[in-house]
Amino acid sequence: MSENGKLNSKQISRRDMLKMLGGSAAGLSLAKVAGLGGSAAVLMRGMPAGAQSKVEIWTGFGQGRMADAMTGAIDQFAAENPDFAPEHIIVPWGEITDRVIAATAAGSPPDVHRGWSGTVGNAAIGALTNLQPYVDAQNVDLMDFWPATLNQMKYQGDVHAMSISTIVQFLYYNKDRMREVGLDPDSPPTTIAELDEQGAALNEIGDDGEILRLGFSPTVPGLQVWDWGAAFGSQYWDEAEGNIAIDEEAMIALFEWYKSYADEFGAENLQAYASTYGGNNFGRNTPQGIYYTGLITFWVLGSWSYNDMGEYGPDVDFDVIPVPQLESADDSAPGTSNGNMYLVPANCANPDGGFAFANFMSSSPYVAINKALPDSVMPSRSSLANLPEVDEKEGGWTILARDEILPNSLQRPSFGGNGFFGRALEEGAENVMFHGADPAEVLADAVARSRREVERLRG
Amino acid sequence: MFRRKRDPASQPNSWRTDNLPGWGLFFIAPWVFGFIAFTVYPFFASLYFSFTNFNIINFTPRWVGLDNYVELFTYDPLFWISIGNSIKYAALLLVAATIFDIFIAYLLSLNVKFLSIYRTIFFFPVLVPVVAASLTWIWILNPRFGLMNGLLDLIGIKGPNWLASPDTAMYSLIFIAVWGSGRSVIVYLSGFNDIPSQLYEAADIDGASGLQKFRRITLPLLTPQIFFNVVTLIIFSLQSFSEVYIMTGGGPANSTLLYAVNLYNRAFHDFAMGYASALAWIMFLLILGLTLLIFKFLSGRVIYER
Amino acid sequence: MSAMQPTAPLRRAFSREERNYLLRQRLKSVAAHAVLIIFGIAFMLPFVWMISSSMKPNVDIFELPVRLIPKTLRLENYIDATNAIPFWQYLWNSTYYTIFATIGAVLSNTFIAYGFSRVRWRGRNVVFIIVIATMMLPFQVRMIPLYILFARLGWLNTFLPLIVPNFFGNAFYIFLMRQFMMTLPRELDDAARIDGASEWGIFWRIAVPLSKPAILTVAIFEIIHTWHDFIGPLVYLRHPTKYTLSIGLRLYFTQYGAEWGLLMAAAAMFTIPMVIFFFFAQRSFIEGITLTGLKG
Repeated sequence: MSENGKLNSKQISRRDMLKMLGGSAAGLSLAKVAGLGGSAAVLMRGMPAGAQSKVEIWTGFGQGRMADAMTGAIDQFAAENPDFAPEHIIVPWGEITDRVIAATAAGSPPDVHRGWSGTVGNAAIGALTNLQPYVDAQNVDLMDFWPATLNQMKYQGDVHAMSISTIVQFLYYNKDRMREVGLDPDSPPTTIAELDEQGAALNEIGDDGEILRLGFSPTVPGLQVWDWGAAFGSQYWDEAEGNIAIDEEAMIALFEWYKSYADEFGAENLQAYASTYGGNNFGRNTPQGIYYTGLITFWVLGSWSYNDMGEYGPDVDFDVIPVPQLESADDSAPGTSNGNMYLVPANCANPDGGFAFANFMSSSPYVAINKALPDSVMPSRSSLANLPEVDEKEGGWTILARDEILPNSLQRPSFGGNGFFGRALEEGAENVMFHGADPAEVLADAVARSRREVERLRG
Repeated sequence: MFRRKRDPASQPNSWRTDNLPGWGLFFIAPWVFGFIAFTVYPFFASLYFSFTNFNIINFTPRWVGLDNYVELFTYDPLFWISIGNSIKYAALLLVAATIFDIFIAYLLSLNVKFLSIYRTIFFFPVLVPVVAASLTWIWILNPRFGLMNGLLDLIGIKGPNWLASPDTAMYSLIFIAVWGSGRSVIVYLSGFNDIPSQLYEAADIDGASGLQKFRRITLPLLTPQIFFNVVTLIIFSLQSFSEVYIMTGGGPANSTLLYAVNLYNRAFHDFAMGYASALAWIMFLLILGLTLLIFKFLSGRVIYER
Repeated sequence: MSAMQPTAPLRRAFSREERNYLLRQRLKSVAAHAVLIIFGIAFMLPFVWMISSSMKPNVDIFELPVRLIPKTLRLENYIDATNAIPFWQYLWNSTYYTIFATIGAVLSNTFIAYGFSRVRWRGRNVVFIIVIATMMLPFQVRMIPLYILFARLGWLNTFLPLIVPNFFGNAFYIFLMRQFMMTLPRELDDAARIDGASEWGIFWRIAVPLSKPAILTVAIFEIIHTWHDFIGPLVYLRHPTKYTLSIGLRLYFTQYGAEWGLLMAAAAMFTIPMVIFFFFAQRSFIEGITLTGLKG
């Protein structure tokens, strides 16, 4: 066990490891006797001298057009960087962060992995390699990135991630359904009030309150607290104070808005709808998904869903506009922007290769055109976002995203503990909707708990 | 009736006394090693971690004294929610499964024909892997297209949302757990079969009613099996994880957040290993306390036939 | 039991009490069957629904009213399911894990139980109580330190953390086998000793062959346990090529939740090996469970 053996003995010497060493030797020899040598050998990652160095890449791009685009990008990287031999490993999206951290603790992390702005917060527990030295040494032009995305790439002032693309949120709407009920498909809702009104006209409710077709509900496909909070005028982080801070008034208004939907439909009917059609964002990558079968008319998702529509619902006449905002709010934004990141775990075998790949993904025009755009996300560098191919993209979503939404979006939180904070807010919202809890109370509780978590992570 | 030979250890002079002590240790050596490596070490390590802020990435856990325990008792709402949920789950499951399993075992013990077929059927759910069973149940309990509400619809009842509603999710999980409790049915059945039929015949002569016979003969003679099943059920249900993690993930609105699920989330999502270790220790003390309590309460009442 | 008793003279007319008694017995039996059949059907329905859904084309899955018997059969679901996930790889991983975990459990527990039952030594009962006490320790207490231990040994993403501990005994199995070995007649040991057999010889040539039912029970329990195991692979196997069916199936669900037909086909293929196994080992199954409920 060449590399791992070294790594382990170094770590083991730190603390109470004498006992374990004895155990490992005996356990290992016994495992060999039992014929398990094979699986132990998997750990050996022999690297012949002078050959290419392996770069292990973890992403969630398993099947379909996004996976093909990823394979193309990796091949391009290999062609441009003959020193590196990339190896692509597919991990389910929902578990990628947990699994990378667990593998990091185990001493066998990948050299680079896909994540989001929220993943940068893992730097707080020391799970990421600081990329600032690489950025400095290679004179990477950071000013080319969107300011919000650049902020998300940094943890405590140092770059810890390279962003390939930036997600903005769209309000998707089904024009066919709007025509069916006599709404004008060319004037979709731009404010919360209009959204409520038009959504109500589109609902189809059964005799016993069962939701047969949904116009709009902020519970579908998810509560999306970050985005709706922004639309209601809240922020999440106070840079000066270095801690969580929300606009209480805006968030209370948001939670009351959520509650108004639970009251309107009946909480149990909303739950029934979610449970009936749920599962992977309501079947977004199957033709049975609610978006392609007219079961919902208005919904908010990231721009990444745009090209799904063409693939799974080619016959649906749909379009996108910015997320509606609360008119009365001062600082409302059309949702949040979220950088798609490539990150290099701490203590990985080949951080040079990891950074090389991350940097390639964030700076290559090939990737921008053949990976970011087909995934319907905006390249994170303004030089790449202004390539002619971007403007020519059909449907006009690129121009909408780049010129209208991106500059006005709120930056999605990337501090350490952002995941905990998001969960706490969602739990609070559920308690308001389904148990009649007081919005001000649950918000105060969620903020207080999350601040503790932020402090815990700081050590 | 087939009787096993008595425990030789209880028979005086039946064993040679000049045994070399080394042989005993020779045979149990693997256990001793496993005990130290996989029980003693984790036991004390988790105790130690529970007093630190360990997060598995940086290998320098800082001693925080009782902070984790103070946080858990005085602050963390999820701790109390999960402990309440786990107790509710264990208690309701215990009552429901015990009554149901004894009832089915009783019916099976009536010398019915096709016993082996029935027995196979009630044991069958044990064979379905937890993940396969859980996914199937999610689909069965789909409020609109699932089998359960489809059947209820036939008799004109609008079924609830089962796993999707905070009001019914917990009961759905208990229902599913009872479905999977076929192992206990077999144990109870063996208990029923061990009750000598002469006892019932004697009671018949005395003119005892069915209920009286059940209370005076069946129940007392079934206590060893009840004792065994109750203890194992409590230990297992308080540690329940897989089914719940797959079917509800603790939701909706934390209504099924069992203790073990909360612990797993804290340990492997938030990587708050120190805090999760403190949670694990509270769980250990809880299970230990409950088990001792049951031993104390039930063991005096268990009636061994011979 | 009546069958054992000498046949009663047939011609004698039953008294009224006897007739009533027989009638009551008869009614009781009919009632028992009725209840058992109802519950029996209810118990099998989930499995029937699994199989039924596994053969439905996707359009029929979301169809009202709900149908138990598919309108059209689509057996291709089974082929599609094996293509949608690396099914055979996961199946092999599950099998691999099951085989080695079972070998470990059988070898170690037979060996250890012998030391706790047939060999007498000072302190044996005290140590045995410690064995029993370890059953009370929840998995969750050991989970985190063991994770760290195996992580530092470099065993994560291998089957070693799942398999190796099986070679060092398990309290429940030790208990089970000890109870069984205690019941074996000790005269056999003595006879063998007079013939000059060593302790090892007695273990190997007498205790092991006679303990076959208990060994089989341990094997069966371990096979079920590992085949079903979810949390072990969830914690230790973090590499997609190492997933067992348990993990692979759930991940498929989280990614393609709406494709119930394929999912149920995969679930059925995951269950069927256990069903086949059960029908081959049915008697030992039931005996084994009865054994666990023995008065200890």
